[in-house]
Amino acid sequence: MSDRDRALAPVVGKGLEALIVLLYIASLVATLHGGVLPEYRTTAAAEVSDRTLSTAADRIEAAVPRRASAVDVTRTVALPDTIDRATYRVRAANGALVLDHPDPALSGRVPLALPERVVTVEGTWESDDRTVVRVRGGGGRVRVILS
Amino acid sequence: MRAQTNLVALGLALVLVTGATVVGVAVADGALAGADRDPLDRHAATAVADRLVAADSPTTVRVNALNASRVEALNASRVEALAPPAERAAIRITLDGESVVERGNPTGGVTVRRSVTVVSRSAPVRRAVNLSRGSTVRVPRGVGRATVAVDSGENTTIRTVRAGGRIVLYDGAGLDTNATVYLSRYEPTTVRTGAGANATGRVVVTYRRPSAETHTLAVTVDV
Repeated sequence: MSDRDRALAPVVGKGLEALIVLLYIASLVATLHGGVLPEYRTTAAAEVSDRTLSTAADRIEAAVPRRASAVDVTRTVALPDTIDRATYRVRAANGALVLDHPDPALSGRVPLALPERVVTVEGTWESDDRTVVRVRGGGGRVRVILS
Repeated sequence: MRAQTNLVALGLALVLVTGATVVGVAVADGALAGADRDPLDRHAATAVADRLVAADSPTTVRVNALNASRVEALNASRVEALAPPAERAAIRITLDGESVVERGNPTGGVTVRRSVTVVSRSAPVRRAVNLSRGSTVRVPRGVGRATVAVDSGENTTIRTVRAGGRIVLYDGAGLDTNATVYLSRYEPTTVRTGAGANATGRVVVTYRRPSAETHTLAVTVDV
């Protein structure tokens, strides 16, 4: 071994270490961001979507009061602004509550259990807007409006 | 080669960091799986239970009081009509563990319990009194309605029938009827006819005594 080689050895060693650590970190970040994190994000978003839908349905069902000659109820329903960083819409369709999300896997539908005197459920909620459920009517006919 | 010995230490450190990452991901996985609480199952089960005990439901006589014969006639399609969230779901509805409606096997479902009273009406009770021996019939508490049949004998005119001192039937020309009278549910009632000492004939009081039992209604739904 010459003197020059002897001086070069630590430099090569440190360089090698730095390279290995960099490669390691790169592979770790690639694995986490490529596979694990998006999967978790989707799973968590699906759970949030399910809960949003069932909470909204619960609140709508609870907003319908008992039979009365005149009904006028206004309730605010709290919804998350975004699910998986995207805004969404909740709308009433055919006696069911439908969540429309840009990602079809996060959309959903849940039927509403309402008394027979509720004749229609209509309207749409935007997640980033004020979400209010109104119940109007009287006697044997009640309308539920999402606005 | 001396400078390269700490590469071994580096390798070991990287293995440890990898291990910690794997353990962390596994814990996160578990937490995510544990956070899944089936909100749609819960919503469906709550909706079915709430609709079953609601005051305006066809299965109840008043809020939280189920009509025994209606509950007997309950089946999965009627439950669906009552509570649409149970559509195409596995359902089990029990009263104190006794199955009322069962469809599919809702093992992974959510169970919602409600305390209810089950009101059933017994077979009619018939109490007859011969007017030559007595003129009162005692109706127990909890009966809101009774049928009184007056059949007066010869030489007897019954003009009034009183329930707990209140005149419920009257005819100045003499009663000969079969009429329904309304009684107080909250106390025993004495039905008395205004018959004289030598009266003949009979009075028949018929009533149904409702029985109310407290049960636990359990609804399990697996969407």
